[in-house]
Amino acid sequence: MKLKRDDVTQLGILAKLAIDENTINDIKSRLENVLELVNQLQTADTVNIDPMAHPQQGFQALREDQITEENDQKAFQKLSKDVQNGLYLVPKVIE
Amino acid sequence: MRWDTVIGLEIHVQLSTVTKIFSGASTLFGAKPNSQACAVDLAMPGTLPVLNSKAVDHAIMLGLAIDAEIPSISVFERKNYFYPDLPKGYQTTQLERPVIGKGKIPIVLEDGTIKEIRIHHAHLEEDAGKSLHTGDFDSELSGIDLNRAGIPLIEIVTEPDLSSATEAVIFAKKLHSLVTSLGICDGRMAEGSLRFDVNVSVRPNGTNELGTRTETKNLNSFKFMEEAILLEVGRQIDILENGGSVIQETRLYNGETKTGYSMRSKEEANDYRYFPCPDLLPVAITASHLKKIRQTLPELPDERSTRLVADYGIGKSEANLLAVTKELSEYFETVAITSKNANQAANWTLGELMSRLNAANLPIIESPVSAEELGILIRRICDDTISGKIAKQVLDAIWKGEGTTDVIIKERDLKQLTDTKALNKIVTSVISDNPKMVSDFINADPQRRKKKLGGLMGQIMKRSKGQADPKRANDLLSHKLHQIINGEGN
Repeated sequence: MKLKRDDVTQLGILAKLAIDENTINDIKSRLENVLELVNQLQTADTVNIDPMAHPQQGFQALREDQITEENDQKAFQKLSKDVQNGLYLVPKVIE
Repeated sequence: MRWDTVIGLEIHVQLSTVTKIFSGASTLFGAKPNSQACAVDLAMPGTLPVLNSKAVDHAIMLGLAIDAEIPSISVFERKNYFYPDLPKGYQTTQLERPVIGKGKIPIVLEDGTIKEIRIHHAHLEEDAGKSLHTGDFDSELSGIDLNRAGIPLIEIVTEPDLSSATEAVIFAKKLHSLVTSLGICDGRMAEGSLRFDVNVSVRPNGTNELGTRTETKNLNSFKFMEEAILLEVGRQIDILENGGSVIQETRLYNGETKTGYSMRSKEEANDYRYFPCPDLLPVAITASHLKKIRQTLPELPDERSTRLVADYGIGKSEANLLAVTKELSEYFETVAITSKNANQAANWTLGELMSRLNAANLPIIESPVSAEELGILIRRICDDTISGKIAKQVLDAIWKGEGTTDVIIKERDLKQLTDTKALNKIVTSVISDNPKMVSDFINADPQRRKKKLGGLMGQIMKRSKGQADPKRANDLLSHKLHQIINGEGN
């Protein structure tokens, strides 16, 4: 599958990555290689194969419903840029 | 044109576990913001989820209670979307292989018929945090409280089997009764423990093709749910009758202003890029574990209702009402046993007591009148110590903490007047003081005499301050009036 230069620019916007004009061609050809690999995988016949839920064999271990966490709020909130009355403050996003 | 309404529900049930679904942080309601958000809930790098066994067991209990398929393997997936109250950038949920498959919940409609509502599936997932858009901070900012992030939820998805707002509310109440009876949810709707999303569409009466539906999200009371559905049905019919078309959209309902509005300005196809969560292995549910959980299932509302009818001989509709919660049916049973009159016990519990509890907004377990005391009160009606009317006064006094049944009756001299001599005196005086009413009775045709008799009985009850034994007084009055008719003098 061939990509356009605009596709790469658009991907950069979606991924919030600044893409240097000079690297677009290089990124474009590398992404095309990835897509080629995907195409190759698509040709495999999987009709009678159950989707794999997890690469490791085995099942989820469960834990007891007991409180094991202490309140480390102070330590966590030191990592935050903006905190008030215990709330993490973020730029307003209202859908 | 006549229209049919088609409703499907998605219900989020907060599970009453002590800790979160994937971390050992507390789920206690009402804690200070972010005091119950640990490294896992905050999506700190390097943390991994470990599934809470209680959340899985609660899901199994629900599955068994709704007669659902419970597959031996279920898988968690990531639902990717960006929002500040979702620290990981995805919600851990289930899609392709949910923990509960197809099931059904029967409901009793208003006319007494039973309708089976099909459950499409139910799955386990984590709740998101809370965004506060106003507060003691810059209006350009939002405050995020992640205490709720990671609280276990079961999302139940019904088929579009409900045909009116009333049916939807009956179903919602049944589900509330079911999850609280199972003990898997505290049922506190005001705290968001049970939240309903309603999918509504309309179609011309008698047609089969579904109309375009809208989804109204996050309704947290039965009343709001009913109002929101009625409003949305009306809105859709208006649009269609005016030649327009309904837009598929997500809507919100404001219970205070009684208005609905669109949540998203334009329709967008969500691409959540679901994929199996690599941090969690598939969950296995063995046949022996299922059997173990089945043995621990408590009595469910439908079973309880059947038992109340069988054990106490009360009517099915009363039994259904009493069986809604374990607490209410236990209360009734104590009243029935103490009073030795189950029908009166059902009537007084559902009538006088419930209306007082509802007015005071109290749950049955906080009733100021104990079940034993109500039982004794009913016994005093049945043994003719007091009349039903006086009993209501006594109930009010017990409610206010002014004493017990027998003490109140004695201290206030409320004992029913059963003495024939005393009653005779009252009856005679009422007859002689109300010649017009007496002649009306005599001149009335036999069918209408009953009503005329009632007027005189009212006078007797008034004169005796409500204490005359109504049955005896009635007998005496009839006897005397017939003596007059037959010319036997008074």
